[in-house]
Amino acid sequence: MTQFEWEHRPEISERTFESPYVIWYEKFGQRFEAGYPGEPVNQQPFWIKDTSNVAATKSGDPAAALDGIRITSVQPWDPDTDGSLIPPEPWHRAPLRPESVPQNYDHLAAAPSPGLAKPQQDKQLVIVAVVDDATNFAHHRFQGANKTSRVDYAWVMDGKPKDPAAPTVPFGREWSNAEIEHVLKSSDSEDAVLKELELADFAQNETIGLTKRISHGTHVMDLACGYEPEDEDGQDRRIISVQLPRRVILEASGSILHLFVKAAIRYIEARAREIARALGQGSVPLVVNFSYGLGAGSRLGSHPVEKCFAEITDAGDSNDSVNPVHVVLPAGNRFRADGHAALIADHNGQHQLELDWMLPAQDQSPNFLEIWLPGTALDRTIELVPPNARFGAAALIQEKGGYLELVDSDSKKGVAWAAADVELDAQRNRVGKIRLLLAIAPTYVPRLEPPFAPAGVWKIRVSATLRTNDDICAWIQRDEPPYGYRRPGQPSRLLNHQESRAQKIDNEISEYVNWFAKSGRVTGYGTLNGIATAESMIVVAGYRWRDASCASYSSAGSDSVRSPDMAAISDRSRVLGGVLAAGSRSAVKVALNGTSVAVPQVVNALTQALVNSLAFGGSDTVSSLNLGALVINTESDHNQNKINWLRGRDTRLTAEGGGVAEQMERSGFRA
Amino acid sequence: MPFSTGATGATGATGATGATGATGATGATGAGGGVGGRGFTPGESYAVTTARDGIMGRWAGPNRNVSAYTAGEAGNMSEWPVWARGYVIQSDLLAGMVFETAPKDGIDFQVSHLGAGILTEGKTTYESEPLFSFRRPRIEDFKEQLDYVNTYAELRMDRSAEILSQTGYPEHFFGVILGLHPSRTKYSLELMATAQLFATGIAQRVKHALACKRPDMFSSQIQPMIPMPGHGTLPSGHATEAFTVARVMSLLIDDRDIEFGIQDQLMHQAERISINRTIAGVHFPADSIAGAMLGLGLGEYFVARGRGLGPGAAGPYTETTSNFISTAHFDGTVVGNEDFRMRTLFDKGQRQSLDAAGRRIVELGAKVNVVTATECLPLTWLWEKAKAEWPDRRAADM
Repeated sequence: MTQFEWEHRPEISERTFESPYVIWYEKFGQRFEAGYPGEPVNQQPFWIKDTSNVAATKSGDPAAALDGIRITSVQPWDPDTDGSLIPPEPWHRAPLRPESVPQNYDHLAAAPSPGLAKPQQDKQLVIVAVVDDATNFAHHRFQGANKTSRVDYAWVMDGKPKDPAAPTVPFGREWSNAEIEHVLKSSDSEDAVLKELELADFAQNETIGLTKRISHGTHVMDLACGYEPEDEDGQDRRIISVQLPRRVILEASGSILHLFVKAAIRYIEARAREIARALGQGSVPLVVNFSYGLGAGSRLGSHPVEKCFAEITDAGDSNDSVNPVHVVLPAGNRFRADGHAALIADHNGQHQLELDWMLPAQDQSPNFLEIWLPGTALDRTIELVPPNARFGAAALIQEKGGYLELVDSDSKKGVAWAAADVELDAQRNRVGKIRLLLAIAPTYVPRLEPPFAPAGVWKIRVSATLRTNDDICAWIQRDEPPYGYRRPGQPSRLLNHQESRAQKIDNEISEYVNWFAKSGRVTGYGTLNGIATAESMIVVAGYRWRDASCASYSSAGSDSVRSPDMAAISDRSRVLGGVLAAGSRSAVKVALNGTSVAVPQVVNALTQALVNSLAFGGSDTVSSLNLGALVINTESDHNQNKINWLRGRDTRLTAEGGGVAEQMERSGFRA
Repeated sequence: MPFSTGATGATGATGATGATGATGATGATGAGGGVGGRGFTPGESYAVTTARDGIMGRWAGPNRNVSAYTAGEAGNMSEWPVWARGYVIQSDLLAGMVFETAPKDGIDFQVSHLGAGILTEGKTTYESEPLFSFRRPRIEDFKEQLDYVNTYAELRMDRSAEILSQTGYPEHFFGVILGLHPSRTKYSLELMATAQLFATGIAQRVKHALACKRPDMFSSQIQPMIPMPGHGTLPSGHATEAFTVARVMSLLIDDRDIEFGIQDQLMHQAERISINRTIAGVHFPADSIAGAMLGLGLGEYFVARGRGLGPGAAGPYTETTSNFISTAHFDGTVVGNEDFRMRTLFDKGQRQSLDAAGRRIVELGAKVNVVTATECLPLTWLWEKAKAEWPDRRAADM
């Protein structure tokens, strides 16, 4: 019988927020990497740094900001002399394929020109940027008449640079409007187009989203800005598409996501300015669609990904050629994922949050749990008891105090780690919360050396001295691969013992609308997308069209987590899931659900409002716009019964848009 | 005999009018159903015998009016059951063909047609003209192709319904494009089934000669989603049959090169059927390249034989007519990591050569007159019957 023991390691990391995941990956995580079918191939470690700064993007030259992203294949520090496995600031590890990375250039070459923008009479041109994966930007829904393209710029981060000696982007392949049109006009089949654009090539020996019938990015982009080629309304929008590298979106912890999102934002800003400059008619609004979510995070709005978006949405200078800028994100689909628990202190004093964290057997991916405590909490202790263990281990949580490692007594190798760090509350500019990250190894990986983590229920007890209304929150990091990809690994969950069996059945039947937030238990309230908590973002939940009830999976806010701003349709009916939009190939329509598809509908409505109004600006755009049918303002809903949210009995809903049927009619949604 | 799939053979002789199948094409020849499939149960047999005893009376010798059929007349085909007709045509076709193993350097197997004979001093000698030849890929060439079998496997779930429906002859997939019906277009269905059968026969013979191993012999991770067939991998039987059918039916009904037209749809369907086999894990893309090349050529050959342009036949007899078809050679040693795409082998209404990075994978050669010693009048009979079912046909007059 394997014995495990907790050992304390005194190493300290000076890195900020993302460091626990980085430490974990660099020191331990690589041991558990095993091949799986369809995994991205030819990945090698590179190191990426961003030497630009925010000021450069807002009032300076955003192209220079893009140029500030540099990648090297030469390890930029020596772990032996430096004593650390962690890349020093400002370097971050980035897995990329060598053929995507140009290395011998001084500066990025000038951006290609955008296409010819022809907004209709008295309409404001708006730029729509979609950051996603598996996006067929040559689809007929993004074309104008006669095989012209409404996509001005497309960055395929997995692609090969056209001219590695003079790249226009720091890695991958940029396609200009002229190049896309040339491919459209000179190819005689969509297969040839997709191969030419390096979007779907069977010679690449890995899972590629666009080879399948349904692809996430194409569906989302169609809802956001897809129009038939002859439709004049399409001309009021110019499109920028960015596709993240497959290896990055497959990384479950999200620890490398922000590097690439930052690059995407820099790119979008720089290219949006090109479009605005070419138009030469004052400010051009920009709406960014980012249909992606993470399970864990502080929900303080200071996740590195959120900071990337905040850089461009912060109230801008009205002389800025790209203004206003809106970023729209999904609320998340984890309401029923059993991935969150919260305890709210009802008095000053000692409190304890007990969790049963169930790790499935044969789970090939590591599992992460983040526990957040207020920075002001005292006497913080955590006890972690592995399954079948006769004893646990209690330890004091200290920020920057090293980490705990659960070591297998035979091999002396670790199977679980706990480390703490502090996150600044950037929005309120004070020490916000302390995070304890629990990382647990896979419970089994075929063909890898043991030890593995024991599967089963891990008991966690967190106690601290809190003030009234302080909270202790726990979130499991999302562990499902993105749509269309296979990555081995099972999601873990928190067991909810407070629900009786009768209550469980009742919840299923009522689709969880009666599931109130209660303290000290596993709950769906507070499961909002970990990268959609910044104030400046527009966050969209999902609902079911037929009876206007909340999508049972749509994440919600809580007393301490912001709520979504509005909702859009994410399922048509109980039987017909999802929303219809473009499939991977032209003229194909498919259904896809989730709050991911609610986001682009809001992007579309928001874009249309901006198109219609030539005199808009300011930060209050969301509430001041009469977005009508699709959107329902739910500002103070997080305390209310979810059933009132969207049932049509909500008076705000009725006042703003009439009955559900009329709303659907106005939104263009036909039965 | 080459009835190896026999998937729908159970419907046998009644298949042509098949209540069981909208097109019921394979039933027309009773493929795999043994011979015919029409019979009496033991009980019926006994009953008929006892009844005869009862009613026959005394033997009276010939007492019916009877006259002879004209021997050897093609029109007699209408007298025979559908399955028997299939054998007649098959035999006539094969009697005009020659198979040669390693006839010369650089060719592993060759399919030729038997030219019109030359009578000298009371003896007829025949010359064969090579039509389709093959040089098989080496093991290292197949290894280069193997990655595709893995990458395409990503689509197994997406395509599973199609793959499982297409394990036999995929006649419905062509039937829905053309609008075939067991009554109204029964001869077209019969023609399609006959062409399919012909293609299978040739494909199996070539597979035997080239003796190429299947993808699962190269890797334990292929794990195909349908049982791996026992015969050789190259050329792909499905690709050969599908492209033969596509070519024959387009020449029968509408071979105009128009976007989304009948020929376009038939060819794309044949392509998809072929690629589905790679997705399933039972073929390399090179098998489909060889199969498509062979199938397209066999389709034209089948129709040319059916036109009955033997010596003395009516009709024009020049190099521009359809009895002259291009030879084709497949060189598997230069296929490398070339993927299969229909447009590289058939474009603008014509078969094409396939060049990749300076290598000639498929080479179309000179046009050859496929008038043979043996006319295929039964096929001509069937061809004319099938043509008559399409009053709006838009194919070059063949």
